[in-house]
Amino acid sequence: MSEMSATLLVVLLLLAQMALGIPIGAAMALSAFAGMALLYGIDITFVMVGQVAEEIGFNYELSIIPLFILMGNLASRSGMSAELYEGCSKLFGGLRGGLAMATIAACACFAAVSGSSLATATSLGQVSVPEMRRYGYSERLATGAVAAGGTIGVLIPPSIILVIYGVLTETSITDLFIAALIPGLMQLVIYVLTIAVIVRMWPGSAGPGQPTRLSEKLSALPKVLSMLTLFAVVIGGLYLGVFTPTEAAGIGVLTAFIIGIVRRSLSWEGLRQAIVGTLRTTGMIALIITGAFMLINFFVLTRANTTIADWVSGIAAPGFVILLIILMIYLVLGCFLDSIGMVLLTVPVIFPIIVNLGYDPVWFGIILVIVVETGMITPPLGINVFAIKSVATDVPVSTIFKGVMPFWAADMLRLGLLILFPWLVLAMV
Amino acid sequence: MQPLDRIVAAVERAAAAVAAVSLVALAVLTFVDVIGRYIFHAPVPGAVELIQGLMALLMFGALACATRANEHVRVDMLVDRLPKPAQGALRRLGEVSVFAMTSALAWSLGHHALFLRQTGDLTPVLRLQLWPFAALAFAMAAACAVIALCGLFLPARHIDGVLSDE
Repeated sequence: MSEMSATLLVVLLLLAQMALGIPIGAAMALSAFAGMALLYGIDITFVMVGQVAEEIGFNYELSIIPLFILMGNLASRSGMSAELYEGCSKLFGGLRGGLAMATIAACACFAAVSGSSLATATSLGQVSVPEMRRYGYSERLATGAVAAGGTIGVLIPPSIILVIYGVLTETSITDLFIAALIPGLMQLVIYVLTIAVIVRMWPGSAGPGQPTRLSEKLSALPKVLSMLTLFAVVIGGLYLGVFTPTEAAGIGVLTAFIIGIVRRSLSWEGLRQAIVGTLRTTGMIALIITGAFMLINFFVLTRANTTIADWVSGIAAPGFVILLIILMIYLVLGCFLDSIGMVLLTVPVIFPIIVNLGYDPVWFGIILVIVVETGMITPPLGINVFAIKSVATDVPVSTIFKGVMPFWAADMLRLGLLILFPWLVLAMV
Repeated sequence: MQPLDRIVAAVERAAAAVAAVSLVALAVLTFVDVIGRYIFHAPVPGAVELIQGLMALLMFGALACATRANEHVRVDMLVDRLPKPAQGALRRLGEVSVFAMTSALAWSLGHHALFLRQTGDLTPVLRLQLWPFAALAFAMAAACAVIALCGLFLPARHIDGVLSDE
């Protein structure tokens, strides 16, 4: 069997398994296994499995993932998210739409300690949606703001997807984290402006603000302080070059733990749940990463990814057009696929193309994450929307999707800016 | 509780305990290492190789937890539209594939452990024997394979509180 037909067979097998609902990690592993066995025989295939087991199992860099997940779990189990929301809503006090803006700000702070969009959306959805509805916000704005706000979690460091991208493409994780800062802050500002525009165009969508005095605003600061401390320690240390990402993650876990103990808000049960939650998420990621590495090994052996990259580079179209087509494909895929699975599945093929076209690997990592996170609020599968649905059970999914649309448009605007002005991403690296 | 259920629960609890200890050790080790280096100018010797060893236990142990809790990412857009019996059959097919993958992993890790035991390879700094790490990683991957295999014969369900007594 030729390498070309074996590769085609592997891709078809993978798609068929995914359509049948086989776990994506296992589907990738078994397709690669079948392709390798057909081309090179069973003995070499087992050598490959052994190499991947060692590469994934005994991997220093991947330790960032469980540590950052644990840090986020510790922060949310010790009640920091509820307090954070309370603090932010005081800070945005008198503004019309202030509670929705506070939700976005709280999401950004929470994102700073959690690498997951879903965790951000659900933790803050539980506190902010009932509060906004009580103050006369429309269902559309209340749920849309928090579903969209959750996506800030994917970008603002620490970000699990950026770690995976860094490990896959051998791009510096520190550079990726630092490059994500400006686009993440842009998202915060653009979302807050979006809310200002929404309440101006449809005044009925938000109740009047509850003015707060300056003294109240000042007294709200300590409530957001614990999250900001955690963020300052982790990202400050990374940015100043004091820690490697792994060290930053270890320091972050202990800092979150100490904050929980000092505030007396972390119980034994909370600690146990944080650890169990971390194990499950880590195991879920371990399966996908292992499967993806097997598939990558297969592609490298058959040179499928470089063949595709060379072929794409040979197309007589400007690099910019090819980039746009790739991003369009991601936007469409993002509506159907889980974000981590999508990155692991596609980056081995897409990355050589991007490098061939002369784009910066760090810049592309950030653009990729933005496109992937936009998929989390795009119909029909937008995972964040369903997460909010589970918190606000009486609101129809279609209403949440409508509420998310202005934020989706804002995401597209930001994506356009970052593509046109790459220095926005690369300035601090 | 069915006997099969009890086996799965026990295997998973053991794997979860090893993974949980590794996770906590990993966090403490990185913390102590950084503090040691910057404050006392004395980093933990061999921190990198210890982290690598702990990661193997954590990754494969966590895999067992995720498999029991049915946390694996799948595309269920098409599957959700099928009649219930077909959904059940496809869920079992999923268990078969996770079993196939993790038993292949376990097999090669076991093989690797035996090989390291023969060669007596040591870690570069602390001069620890390498094979026990590989053997434990093998045990974790094997635990995951056992859980997936038993899952074939158990009804689908969602489980809360992995470490708690069911």
